[in-house]
Amino acid sequence: MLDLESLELLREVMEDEFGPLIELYIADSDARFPQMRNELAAGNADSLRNIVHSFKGASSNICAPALTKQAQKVEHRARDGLLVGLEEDIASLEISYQLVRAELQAML
Amino acid sequence: MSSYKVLIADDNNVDRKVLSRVVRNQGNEVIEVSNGFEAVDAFREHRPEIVLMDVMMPGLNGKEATRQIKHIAGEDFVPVIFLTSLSDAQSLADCLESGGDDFLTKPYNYIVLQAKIDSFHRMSEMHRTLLNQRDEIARVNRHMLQEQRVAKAVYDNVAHAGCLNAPNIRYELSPLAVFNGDVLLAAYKPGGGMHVVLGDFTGHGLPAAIGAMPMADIFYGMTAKGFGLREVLREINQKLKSILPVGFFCCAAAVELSPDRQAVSVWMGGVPDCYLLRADGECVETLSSRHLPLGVLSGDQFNDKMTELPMSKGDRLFLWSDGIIEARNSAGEMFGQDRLLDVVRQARKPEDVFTAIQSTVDAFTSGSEKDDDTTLIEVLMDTLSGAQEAQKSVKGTAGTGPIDWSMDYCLEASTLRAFNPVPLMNHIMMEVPGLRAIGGQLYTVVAELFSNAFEHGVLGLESSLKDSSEGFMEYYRQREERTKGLKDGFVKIRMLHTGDGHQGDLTLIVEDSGEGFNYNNGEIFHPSENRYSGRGIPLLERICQSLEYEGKGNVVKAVIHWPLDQEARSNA
Repeated sequence: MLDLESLELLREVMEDEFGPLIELYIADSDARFPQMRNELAAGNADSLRNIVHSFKGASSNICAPALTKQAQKVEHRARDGLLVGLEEDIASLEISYQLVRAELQAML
Repeated sequence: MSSYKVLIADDNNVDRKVLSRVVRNQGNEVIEVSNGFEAVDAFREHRPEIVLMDVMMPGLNGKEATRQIKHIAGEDFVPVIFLTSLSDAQSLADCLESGGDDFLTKPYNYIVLQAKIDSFHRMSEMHRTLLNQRDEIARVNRHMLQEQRVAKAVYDNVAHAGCLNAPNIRYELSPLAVFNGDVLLAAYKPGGGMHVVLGDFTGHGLPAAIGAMPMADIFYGMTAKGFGLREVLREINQKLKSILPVGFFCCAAAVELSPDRQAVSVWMGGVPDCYLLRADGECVETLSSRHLPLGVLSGDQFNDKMTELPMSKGDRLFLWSDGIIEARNSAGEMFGQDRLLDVVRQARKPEDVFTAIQSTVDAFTSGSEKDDDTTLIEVLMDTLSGAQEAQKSVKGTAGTGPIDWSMDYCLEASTLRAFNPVPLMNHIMMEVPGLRAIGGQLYTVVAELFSNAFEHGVLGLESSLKDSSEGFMEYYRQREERTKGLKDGFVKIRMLHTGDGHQGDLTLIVEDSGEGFNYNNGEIFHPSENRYSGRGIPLLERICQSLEYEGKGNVVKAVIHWPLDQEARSNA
């Protein structure tokens, strides 16, 4: 799930801040899935879109290209107000995230 | 790589941390905030040089935060670079529309990022330099205006209006004309008559004004001491030549008005044609520049030759600088010499010409940006009644000073060719307080006696020539020619004074090397039979207690008693 080459570059750039950055990503992302579901349930397409947007950006930075692409699809559906059936996509996105999360934790 | 203080505002923690690390790795100092409110506060507190601002943030968004930051920054240029993952053209254009200076799209290209930071830093420096220079220019400008005010005050003290307010003068001159380079000077001569100079210095501002001070100083100083206009011009030329840089000079028209001789001498260098309008209004005579401007030629090349013209009471002379000729209308056309001549010709009465010129030029230039450097003067031939008033005010105070003294002064041919001894004579007489009060009259007597001795005695000129205006010109032509070729001859002047401090007698004996003539002392003032035909006779008659010829007619002796009786004083 991770672009390891890019991730190695990121580690070099961040130096001693690499570990805290990964931990920050995990903490932020863990908190985002319950928020996504809440906004979806409330029908707040804009708020949902902003949260997915942030998740997408963070995932891109953390060198998870497949996760980023998947998040973008959810973001676009939220942007277009196509909320029907979006819950399954969020669940699928979370599964992918959990895989990335496991890989990242293994690296720490 | 230079170190800049960079503010990063992004609510996405991971994005911000990564960007922050990269910017710090590039050697910069970073302040991180995660929303718009914090961004505004942090800006106020830390005054960063560059702001990297996420567009979409909860609370205060990036665009509004930018607006506030720009407001706080005021005149300072603080570049704000928007961070956005949007990549369509309209979204990027919106970033700039809303007050951002540039944008950076996610994911970031770090090389471009550093290049932008460096580029904006250069721009900030440029902006700072610009502001500093603007402030400096404003400061210098204030300083310059202040200096001009001081310079104007000093100039006004030196180049006071002289006798520009005399009844026979009308003029127009902008109050700050000295900074346009225009100068008008007028002064009564101690022996009667008047000197008028209109000057137009090259350039504008202080360089144009700077030459006006010595010019005015010399003009008033030398005129008051009794020097002729030729000597005054020569001295001004010499002074300007020595103080002005190459390329700076003064176009000038100079006039010596002699009501007693009903004549005017004009010297013009580099000024436009001027006009002499006769009292009957019939004839307009054009006077043209014949010389280079003052301050161009060295003393030995300078030509002080003046044009002599008969000028009767009521005749008017109009002088101007090129400002009036070059005044432009709204279409950019110049007023020109032809229009000026038309105005002079078409005026119904000679006394209307001056105001006609003013109103025509005003009408012509209305609607265009006025340069306000019209300088114009009308000199009317009149009896100069103001001169007496002016001179009474400088009456000498009674007191000590030389009482019994005598002096002999002999001028040989080589001296006579180029030197006028009258100012020196005048100067010596003015040491006697009692004589100082009648300086003007004395000057006339000395000038008259000397010029008769020199012109009729030494040069052998016929005074009868001056009866007609052609002969008048011929007389001065011959005077010029004979003076130039003078090889032999002399004029001896003896001055003798006796007195007691309250009254006294001044005896002037002038002897020349000429042939003399058959005189009859009983009829010395008879117009047809002696050399004093025409000018000056009544004046001499009134002032001198006695005046008689001696020897073969080449010696004249005048005795003046002071204080003058009332009649002589008031008529002189």
